[in-house]
Amino acid sequence: MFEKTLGDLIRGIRSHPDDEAKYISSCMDEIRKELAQPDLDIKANALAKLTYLQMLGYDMSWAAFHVVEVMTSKKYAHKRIGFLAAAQSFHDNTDVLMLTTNMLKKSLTSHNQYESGLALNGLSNFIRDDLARDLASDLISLLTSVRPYVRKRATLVMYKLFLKYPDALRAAFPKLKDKLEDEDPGVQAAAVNVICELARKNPKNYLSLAPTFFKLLTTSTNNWLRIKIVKLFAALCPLEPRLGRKLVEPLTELIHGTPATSLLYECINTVLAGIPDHTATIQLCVQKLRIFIEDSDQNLKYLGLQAMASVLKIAPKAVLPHRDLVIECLDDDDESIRLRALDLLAGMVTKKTLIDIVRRLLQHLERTEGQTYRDEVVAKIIQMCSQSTYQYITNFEWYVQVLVQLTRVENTRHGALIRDQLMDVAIRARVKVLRPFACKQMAALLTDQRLYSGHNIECGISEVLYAAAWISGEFSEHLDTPTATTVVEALLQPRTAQLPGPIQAVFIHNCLKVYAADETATAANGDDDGDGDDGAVRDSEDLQAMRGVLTARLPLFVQSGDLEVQERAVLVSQIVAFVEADLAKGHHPHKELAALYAGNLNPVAAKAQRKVPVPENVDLDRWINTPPASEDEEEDRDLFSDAIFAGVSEKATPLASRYESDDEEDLRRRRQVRMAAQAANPYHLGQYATPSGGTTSMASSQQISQEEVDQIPVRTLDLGPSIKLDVAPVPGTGLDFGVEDDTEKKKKKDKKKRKKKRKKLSKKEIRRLKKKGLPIPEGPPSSSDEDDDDHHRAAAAKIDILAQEDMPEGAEESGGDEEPAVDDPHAALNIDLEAAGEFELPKPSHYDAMTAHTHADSDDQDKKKKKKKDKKKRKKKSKKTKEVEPAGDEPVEAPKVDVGDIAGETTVDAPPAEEQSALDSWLSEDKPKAAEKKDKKDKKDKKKSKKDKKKKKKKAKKEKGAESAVETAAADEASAAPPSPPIAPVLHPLLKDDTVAVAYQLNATSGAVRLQFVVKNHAAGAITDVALTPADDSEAKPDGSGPVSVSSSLAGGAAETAEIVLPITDDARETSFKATLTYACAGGVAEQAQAEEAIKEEEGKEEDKHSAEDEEDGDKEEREKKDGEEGEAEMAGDEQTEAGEDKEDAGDAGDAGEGVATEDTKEGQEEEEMNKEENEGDEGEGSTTTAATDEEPAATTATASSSSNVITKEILVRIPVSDLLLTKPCTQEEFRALLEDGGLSPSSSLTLNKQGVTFEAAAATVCSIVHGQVVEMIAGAASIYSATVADGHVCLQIVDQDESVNIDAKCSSQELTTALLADLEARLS
Amino acid sequence: MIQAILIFNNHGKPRLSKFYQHCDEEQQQRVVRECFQAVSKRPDHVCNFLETSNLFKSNDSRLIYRHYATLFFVFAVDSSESELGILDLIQVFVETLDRQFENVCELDLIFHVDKVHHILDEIVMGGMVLETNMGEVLSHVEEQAKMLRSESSSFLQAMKGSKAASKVKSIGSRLGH
Repeated sequence: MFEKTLGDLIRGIRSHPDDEAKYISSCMDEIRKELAQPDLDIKANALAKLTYLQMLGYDMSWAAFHVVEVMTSKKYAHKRIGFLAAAQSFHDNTDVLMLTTNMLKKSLTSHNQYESGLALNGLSNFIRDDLARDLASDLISLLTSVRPYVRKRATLVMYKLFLKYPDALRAAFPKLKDKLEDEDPGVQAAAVNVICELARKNPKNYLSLAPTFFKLLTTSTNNWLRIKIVKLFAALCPLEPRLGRKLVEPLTELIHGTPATSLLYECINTVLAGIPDHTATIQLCVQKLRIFIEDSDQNLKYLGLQAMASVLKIAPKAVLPHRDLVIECLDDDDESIRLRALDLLAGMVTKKTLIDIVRRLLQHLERTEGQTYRDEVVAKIIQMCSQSTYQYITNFEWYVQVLVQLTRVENTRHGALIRDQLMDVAIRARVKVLRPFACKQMAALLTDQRLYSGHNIECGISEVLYAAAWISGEFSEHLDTPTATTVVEALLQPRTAQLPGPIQAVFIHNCLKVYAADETATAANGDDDGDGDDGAVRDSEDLQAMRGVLTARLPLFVQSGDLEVQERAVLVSQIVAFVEADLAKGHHPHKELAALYAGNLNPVAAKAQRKVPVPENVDLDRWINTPPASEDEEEDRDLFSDAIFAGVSEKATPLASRYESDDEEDLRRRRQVRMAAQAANPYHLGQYATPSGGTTSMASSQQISQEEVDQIPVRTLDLGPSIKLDVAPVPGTGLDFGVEDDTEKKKKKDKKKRKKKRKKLSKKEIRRLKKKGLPIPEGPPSSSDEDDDDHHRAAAAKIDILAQEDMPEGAEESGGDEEPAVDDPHAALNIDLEAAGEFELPKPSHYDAMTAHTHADSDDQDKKKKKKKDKKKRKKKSKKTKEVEPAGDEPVEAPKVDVGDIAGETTVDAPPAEEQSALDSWLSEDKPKAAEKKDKKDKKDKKKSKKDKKKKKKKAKKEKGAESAVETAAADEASAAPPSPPIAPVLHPLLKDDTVAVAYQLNATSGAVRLQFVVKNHAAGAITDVALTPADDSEAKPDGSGPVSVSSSLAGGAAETAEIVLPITDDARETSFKATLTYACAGGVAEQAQAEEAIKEEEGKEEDKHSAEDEEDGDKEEREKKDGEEGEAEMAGDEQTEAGEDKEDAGDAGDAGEGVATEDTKEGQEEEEMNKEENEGDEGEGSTTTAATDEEPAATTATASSSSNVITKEILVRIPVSDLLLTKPCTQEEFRALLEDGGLSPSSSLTLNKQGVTFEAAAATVCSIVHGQVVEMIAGAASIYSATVADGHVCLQIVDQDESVNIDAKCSSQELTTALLADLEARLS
Repeated sequence: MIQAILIFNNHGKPRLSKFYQHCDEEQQQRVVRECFQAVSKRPDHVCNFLETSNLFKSNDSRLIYRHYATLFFVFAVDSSESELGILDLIQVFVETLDRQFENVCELDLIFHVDKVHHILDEIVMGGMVLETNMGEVLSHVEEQAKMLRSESSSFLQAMKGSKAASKVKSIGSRLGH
């Protein structure tokens, strides 16, 4: 009657700590009963309890039907319980889900937003294919719900819907896209979230949304949203290089500006993933990451290290300076941070740093705690050293010492790894001195009793003894007799018997090697000393002692339980017995002993077997034995081989049975067995081909690329006398493995070629074999019978080829093409959303036919110029890596779909193309942007953002001349912002002296040119009056010819502008007028002088710096640059140098306008005057004249700050005709029509020396001077169009002629043509 | 995507588990156990990220957690989530709980696990972040609570009404006989 509430249940569980399970099972029974009751309240209560128990791990799938019942309740309280239970327990296989469709439909459309919310939330947890299909339209319609609460959820649930019902994606996509611009930020975030998830798997389908995301990124302030977008861009950038360039700016801004570390971090990540070639930004990221790592917050430290690791992959050099910081992190308390730092450190290793890093790691090992961590450090040290086949190791003796030192790390479980490394290094050793050294080290290891302790045997450190024994045995000729004796003693000490069998076996095998080598060496010495008679060699005491040890200790091992040990012990003791017998007969058997181990062991490439050609008379496809009649026989044999011989049963099986099976499975199984054996086999050298040595897995050996194979040091080793391996049976093929002596080096090249051919052949052959399911033959058996190493080598080669063969057919051809997993739901979502016919893509507003058309043109040009520019770009890049490259000022390499044409010529009914081109146009939008910027930079339009200008100025200078992008930029400018880029305001200097700087700028809009005066006052005095009068030769009447007064309150810094509108209708000629300036003079001279001092210094430096960069741009540019720097320096000097900039500008644009103090009457100065020295001279004169006018010496002017002398100056303003031109869009057709019958003047031409710049650069310069737009550009010829203020046409054709360019001009009037050409000549010659 | 959200105490007792990809109860318990083992042995001052292997089918998963007094809040997420972002989200979640329960403690979570679920559902939906504005979350939670209250009162009335009506009906039917 009284049901337990959820609270009661929980209390009950807590009060039954001892018999919780029992209590719960009783409760479960109650719940079952309660659920069976019809009352929904009771049901819901029971269900709530059941949901709680589910969390504790109790199954509740049996109650699924009751869940649906409760979900269907009208009461929200019940519903909520039901939906929670469903969310926790329902899944695809829940049958009752199909009963919920109608209920969900009803809930979704409920007028109660929380009920819809419940349903949506529920669906996000348990939506299934059928539900998705049936509810898709309801869900999609909810996207436009009026309630943000519902809209938000509906948006999010879309992702789950798409996963289950991919068709919905196409239908819902337009609406989903709209949600990106929803007024509710939550909905926006949800939409971004969904698209991010979708785009993560199929990024290319969402590229077209990049502009929207870009806008969101730059406008939104919601950090969550921005993080998601930034992450999304990381996925998109690799697909579209232009996007990365476009992102540089906003990302850099965010990195600089955002206070949210999470956003900052994601920005850095995106930069690393999306624009890895942008050095400046990467540098910025690294700086920021350093701050992260230095932070006391462990989380930031961790993330900093993690991101630093990604930097390491793209720009290793950027990370190197932070090595110490990373090493510091090794001492952090936090193990995850230490591991991160360790990873990072491993990547920072270079030849120079390796020793230092390893030394510090070894120190670190001594003072660190934690077994797993120490093991990790050990593994990392080995990995660092061995990577890329010991690429970074310069001193192998050092490495052997490091390895020996590592054996002293307590409890390390990397004994086997160290063992493999030791053997690998010793065998590979290119440096001959290493072997004696290694031998001695190993001998010392062998006598290290610590290694024999039970504990060390247990944790595997003793594995290194294996290597120690083997190396000191194999290379025992390097041991002197006393050491040899101790080695033999150590090898046969009683504690050896406690070692694992394989190690014992090696010990025993090698004690004979040591003895034999010593015997041989003694004999040789005896030879040298004596008469050369073998038999007469004296049996030294040492050798006797050694034999004594052998005979005394070996019996212990003869009785060993380990077969291998036993066998070897018997063998050795037998040989010793022979020797004793021989000696007793008076014959010294050192020759026989030497023969036992004759020959050097050298490394063999993993794929050496490949080079062995199949002998002509061998048909590999033929059965060697006839296949057995039935399977039974084999089974019999299996029964026959009993347990003791299990290990050898396979060998015991007749060959036929090994060859008979066609079964791929069987083969693979056997290969695996072999691989396992191979992994355990230290003689197997193939595995060392990869840096990780003994731990190489099968997978990684398959991944070895062909190049790597070629790099395997088969031939790079120089190990003295060459030996030929007997496995190369066919004479004349010149197959030597492993070694090569000097004479053979000559043949190297030849061989290489031949080898390749051979490789191919053998590959083919192997494939053929594989088809038949045959194992690959080992090649002819080795004839060197005494040397079991040879067998190993052969086996190694064989196994490796087999490993190669384990790949499925075709896998090797196609490499690593990753097919998405079949069950990955995202595979179905790879829908080309642009190709969808069901929905109309909204047309971007800024995109109209006109711009499409012009865009097409520019696209076209882009394509034509692309090649050249790419080339240039590379050059440029390398030239100024420090500079922030202006985003996209060059055409991009991105595969450019020539959609512009389509969009322009066909009409709107080609939505995909248009969409694509919209994206294209957006992506290339940065070009006009850049162009505008450049204009700003080049021409200094405004006084605002001085700092910016300062930065950009320099850049602009450098680019000038070299950049051919101006034409395209101009063209794009026209297309992107069609009506109104008039002449960008340019400041032209008029006058500058110690007290005042005057400049003017033109603001041209159609039909009129506004003349704006910019007056800078250095002095404390005030400008009182400015008046303009037309010069005598001018026809244009300045409008406000009356005196224009300027605020008289400006003091020592504030800038003032006086605007005078000058309507110009007749643009065919130069316009000149006279300006009269009246101002008060006071002080400031000293300041100015100082500033100039500074300039001089600065200039000297800058000149040096830049002189190297100027080969391309010639003298002119250099001069400009000087001027530029001057301007800059002045800015820095006294912050009042608008005019300084102006001057530079004048130099920049050629002879834009000249300011001449009328006292000096230097009218019509040539542009050369903009040259710095003359400027100075000019200024100097200016100041002296001032002084003269005032009849006061300059020195006193400087001090007499309060004197209010009034100065009047007259300035002649000359506005050249080219400054009165406007950029206007013009298509090729229009241009052609104009030329044919546009009523233009006859063409005049002008030839100009290119002064060493490329044609493109020259054309670009011309284009920028006339403010024109490139209409067409083909190799060696360009057409440029420009218009006058009064809508006159200016058509230019530029043709390349080796040393010069020829400019043909056709304008509306002959006058204009002449004036323009004169102007161009003046500026460019 | 968030793969799972787990809350357990210092002894590994689950206080809330929400899995955004299906796994059966046994797997869920395993995940909780493994997360607890991974997280509990870490001292408090170390970083809050943990790389895990094969917690779920996909390899792409990390644990991001915070430890408050007796409770661990663990989020298992894939690489599309920002580490620091999720840390903030945990903070938002906990603060919301704190506001809702007024100085939240483990007991609140023990006895009101359903409420915690409802709050969580306002913040995360189907493994995707739904709302990060605490005020917004709280106002909706509050509104739903209000709705429930009015529902229960009106429901009682409705019950009474319907009972009365059925009585009348039965009387009427009897009279009709």
